[in-house]
Amino acid sequence: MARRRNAGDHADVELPITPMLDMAFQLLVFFIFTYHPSSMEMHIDGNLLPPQKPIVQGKEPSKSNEPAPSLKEKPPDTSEDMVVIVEAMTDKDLAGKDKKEREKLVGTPRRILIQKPDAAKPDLVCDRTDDLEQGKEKLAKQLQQILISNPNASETAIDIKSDGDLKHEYFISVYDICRTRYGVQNKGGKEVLTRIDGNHKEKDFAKVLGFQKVGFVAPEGLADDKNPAQ
Amino acid sequence: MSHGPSTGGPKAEPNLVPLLDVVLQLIMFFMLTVNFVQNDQVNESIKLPVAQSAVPLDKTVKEVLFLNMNHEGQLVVAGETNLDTRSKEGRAKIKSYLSRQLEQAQRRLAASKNKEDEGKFLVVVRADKRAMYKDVYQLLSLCDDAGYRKWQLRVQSQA
Repeated sequence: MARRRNAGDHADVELPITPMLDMAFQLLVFFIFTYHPSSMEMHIDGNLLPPQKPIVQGKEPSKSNEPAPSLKEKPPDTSEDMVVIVEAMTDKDLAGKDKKEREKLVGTPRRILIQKPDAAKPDLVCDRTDDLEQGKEKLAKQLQQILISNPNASETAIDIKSDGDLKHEYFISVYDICRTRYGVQNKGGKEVLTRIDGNHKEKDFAKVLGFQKVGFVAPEGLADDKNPAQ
Repeated sequence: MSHGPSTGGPKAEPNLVPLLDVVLQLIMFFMLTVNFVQNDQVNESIKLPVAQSAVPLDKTVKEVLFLNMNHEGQLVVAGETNLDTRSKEGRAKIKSYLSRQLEQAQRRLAASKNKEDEGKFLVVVRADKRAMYKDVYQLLSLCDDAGYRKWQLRVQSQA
């Protein structure tokens, strides 16, 4: 092993850094492009009904304590459950609008109603005179009021009865509002509700309000392949 | 690491070693966080809806079937076409696909020695936010017919 030695200098061994750096950058770019922060994804849990053994909602013997919505095969018993009805904009409602606007609006909520367990007729929560955010706000307010006014309201099951044409996005946001939990704080003799999200923990509050059981109702006109009539 | 000025004029070379260190650190980070298994289950083109009441992922479930639904109500599965929830043929195809998957999952669970894993299989529905509610419901009821008992709807948490 002959060492090259410059006259009068120390040994000058240098790694070829530049090609290594090139490779490192290539690798870096590859991993940046394949990066997928899966932890950003969360889920909504649910159970399907076991065959011939319909289980009462929320009393599923599941290991986690998380109550789960279940698909209901029979129409909800309106004498017990509260029904949130979401109607969707269809092409018919949007006749006369130009194509671009129609594409934007079809599948958005047209009206949201709440059918309370003992009421004869559903109450209108919002319609198209409100924009989407206002409508959601109104629904949240209504549900809050129900929670405050009735101490047992958290036990009431909610069924979301939605038009089949409603976009998944809006359905999830309605579900989200129904499942929102509120912490109760006493501020100056008045009860103040705080929405529990990532910044708060349930155990920080003495009392927590929120609907535990939220189920989905089959949309009307769902194709049934087992039924030869359709 | 004091690098004295190199003797003799224009041969000023930038010191690349710290840069290389940083780059290698970054590579390590991305290598560790990358998840290749999920890449064929998670379809990037699907835009999930946003919900705040959703709960974090549960890692204890062994057998998970990912179902990606695009904005037209069709299932996106590699190697399969026309898995459309809106047509009768599509639904029949989805049903046979689901039962095949369930059968495989059950066989794998039966083979595993861990008794606790039994019955721990679920479907994860990643539906595009522009899909319709009836498509999602249809898919869930097809899963029900196939024999799945647990489902999850994937959503995006608001960061």
